[in-house]
Amino acid sequence: MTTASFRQSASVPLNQTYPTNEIEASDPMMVESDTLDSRGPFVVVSTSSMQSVVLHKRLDLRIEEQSVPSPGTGEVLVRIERGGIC
Amino acid sequence: MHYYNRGGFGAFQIMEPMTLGHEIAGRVEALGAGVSWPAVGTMVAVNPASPCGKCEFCRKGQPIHCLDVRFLGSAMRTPHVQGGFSQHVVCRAENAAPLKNGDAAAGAFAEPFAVCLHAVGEAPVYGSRVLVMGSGPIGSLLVIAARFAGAREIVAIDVKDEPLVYARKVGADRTINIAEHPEALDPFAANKGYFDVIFEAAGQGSTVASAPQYVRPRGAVMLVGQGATAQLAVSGVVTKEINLRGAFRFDSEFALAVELIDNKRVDVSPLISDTLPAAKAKLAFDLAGDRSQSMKVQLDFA
Repeated sequence: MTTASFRQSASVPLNQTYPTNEIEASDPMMVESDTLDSRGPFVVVSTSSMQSVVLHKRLDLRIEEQSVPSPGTGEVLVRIERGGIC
Repeated sequence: MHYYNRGGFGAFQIMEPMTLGHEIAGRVEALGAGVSWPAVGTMVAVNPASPCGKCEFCRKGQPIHCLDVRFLGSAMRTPHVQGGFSQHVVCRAENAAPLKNGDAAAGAFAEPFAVCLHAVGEAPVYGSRVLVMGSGPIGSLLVIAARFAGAREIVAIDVKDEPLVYARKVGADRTINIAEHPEALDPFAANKGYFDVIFEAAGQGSTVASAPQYVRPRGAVMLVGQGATAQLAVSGVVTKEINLRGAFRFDSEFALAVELIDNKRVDVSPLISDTLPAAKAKLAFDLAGDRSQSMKVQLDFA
């Protein structure tokens, strides 16, 4: 389930990139954290926040900080690479 | 696109902020309790549909009609089910379908291709002459699915030239711009119709209303496109005994779509017109809404 709370994180400006050593690689959630490099503005800098494409109302689409969900029993966490617009 | 442009369609109206997206692929990065597969690091296509498994329709083997389905990025229920356009998404382990080839871009087609495999599987396509009305991403994927299912001939139509180029690229035998050449369909209406199966993927009332004249008696008109209100001449459906029906979402076709894409039995990649960084989502949605500029637009979250 992706019903993450909509936490605003003031510490993560959308257009700023960070060196990879700021990724908390010790967190078990981020087993692939060494692949999270700074290839653009869409960068994860902490294990608890991520960016999502959120529609508020018609034509009002925003990039927002959300907390990274944890996989529950029977679930997996997937680091998304591609998404098709439908 | 329906949510973005119109705030929803039919019973699906956006009432609160919702993460969009239900065509997604990525790598498994962590396993919840009781999960041993797929292994961490596996590239997977995420099946966005989670039927309840308990309701009347699930128990009848019709999970498409589940009364309590959770579908990623759907406003059918409130609170809405948040979608997959996030850097990290949690899903049921069985909804993560491994892609051996590791091609996330192709894997993100599993969902729309599954929709098309379902529609094609519900119609007698083998050996048939097929008309696809509307050559957007779904229409073009219907062309691929109809070829896979053994269609004898596939004609694709649209009101713009650009989508028809894609339809030809993925296997349409003939394409017609009906805005420029409306008369080109006339021969297909002669002698009670030409096509055995018609797929309506334009979601337009005018195409729905015109479809019966081009289908042969006892042929099938499959409505795949959403959102139209059509004024239909019932006598055309009655007198030719046309099988007029809808096709919605998918069930086991998701696994089939993943396998066909992964094994390269079909090639969906020619349909990717643009790939934009996810941070430029708004630009990407606007681009996807311009049918003369784009076919399938993908967001890159990596």
